[in-house]
Amino acid sequence: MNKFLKDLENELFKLKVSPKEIKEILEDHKEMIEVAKTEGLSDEELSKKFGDPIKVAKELYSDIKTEPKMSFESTSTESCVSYKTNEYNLVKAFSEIDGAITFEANLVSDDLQYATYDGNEIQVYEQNIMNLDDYEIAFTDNTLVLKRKKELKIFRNKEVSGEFLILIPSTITHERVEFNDVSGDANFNGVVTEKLILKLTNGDIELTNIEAGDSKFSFVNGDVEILNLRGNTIDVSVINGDLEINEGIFAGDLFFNTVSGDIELTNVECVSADLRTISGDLVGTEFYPKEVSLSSVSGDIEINNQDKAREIHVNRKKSISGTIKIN
Amino acid sequence: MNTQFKRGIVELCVLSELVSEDAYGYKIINNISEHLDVNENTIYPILRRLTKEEYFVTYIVESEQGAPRKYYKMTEKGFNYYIELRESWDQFIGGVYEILNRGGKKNEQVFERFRK
Repeated sequence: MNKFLKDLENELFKLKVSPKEIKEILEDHKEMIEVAKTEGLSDEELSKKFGDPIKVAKELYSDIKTEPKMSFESTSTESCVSYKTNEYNLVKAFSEIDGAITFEANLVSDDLQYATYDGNEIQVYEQNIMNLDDYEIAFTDNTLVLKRKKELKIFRNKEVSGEFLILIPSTITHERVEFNDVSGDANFNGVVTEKLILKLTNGDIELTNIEAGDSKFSFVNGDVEILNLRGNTIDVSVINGDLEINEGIFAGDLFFNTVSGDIELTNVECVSADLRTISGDLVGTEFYPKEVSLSSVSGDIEINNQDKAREIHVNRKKSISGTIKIN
Repeated sequence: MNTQFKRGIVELCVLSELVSEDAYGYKIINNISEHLDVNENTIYPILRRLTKEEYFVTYIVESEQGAPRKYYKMTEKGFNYYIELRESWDQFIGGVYEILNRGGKKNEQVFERFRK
């Protein structure tokens, strides 16, 4: 019956059930199988009684998925109310949406707000954008593109930065969201995407209520604030900025690399975590990876958890002059 | 049988198992699968969902043979839900039998039309 448990675990992983729940479900099954054995059931009777682990995983998942995901639904609709679209100018709207979309944005100094709302078309707004001809804004082949077209002149007049606001119907999911910006700030709210790729040099970024399969972030100087991110894997590289994650559930691995920025993780769960820092500090509170690798040159790493019963397996722990503590 | 339909019935059975006494997971599964052709695949997810919905609470009891067992206990909320479900089930199944039995006629009478 060990195969049953292993298959069940794998299937639940695949279905992106949270590690905490997987642990509980497996414990329940271990117990039930053991009881069945003490009552003298043969292997054949056992497998008849317990059936197919894939079926049980699917059944469990269909229950889990119909639950409100950490108030995901309600907050995402609230968020659109707070955008005062009358302060912006509507640039374009697209309504022929066919399934999951891709969003690609390349900006230089403009800010971006990207959020879901209750409508059924994609709306692109602007505020203080000097010349819209400098931008490519299009929606073709289910891909939304927002691009700063012109090569930047080296001796330019003072660069004035504006802001884009993009509203996406809340029923729409994304295959990929890819955003590059040099000095603008960005704010994503209520987005569901298979892939989330963010590259920022100086801007700050805020992510709220995001569901992203695999995320890859690279930031140089900006600060990053994440509230409620659910996904599979996340790979973050930070040079100077600080990163904060509050409420994060990952069905897969988490990889953080920081040079001098500080990282703060609160209420985060994942399968394995690999945290590396040169001189930045790293603090985890209620941070539960199944297994963790920690390395630091001079930064300190500290993990403070209440639930002592949840074991964290330490694969590697290495520091030159920093301290590493798991409390 | 239609899965959605079956699930609803098994849900009622799970609730019914816990009305009179607390029980551990395997016992509930065993009791139900003695009478109905369902296995753990159907029962455990229901047990888990009803616990999440606060119809049951769980507690651990050390066992003399082997590992500690997780017992399920019905809450008052669970009891109210059971009564509600039970009433609509009785009404429904009563109605179904009314139809099947054609108001008390015997099967022989009902099948008369197709007798060759």
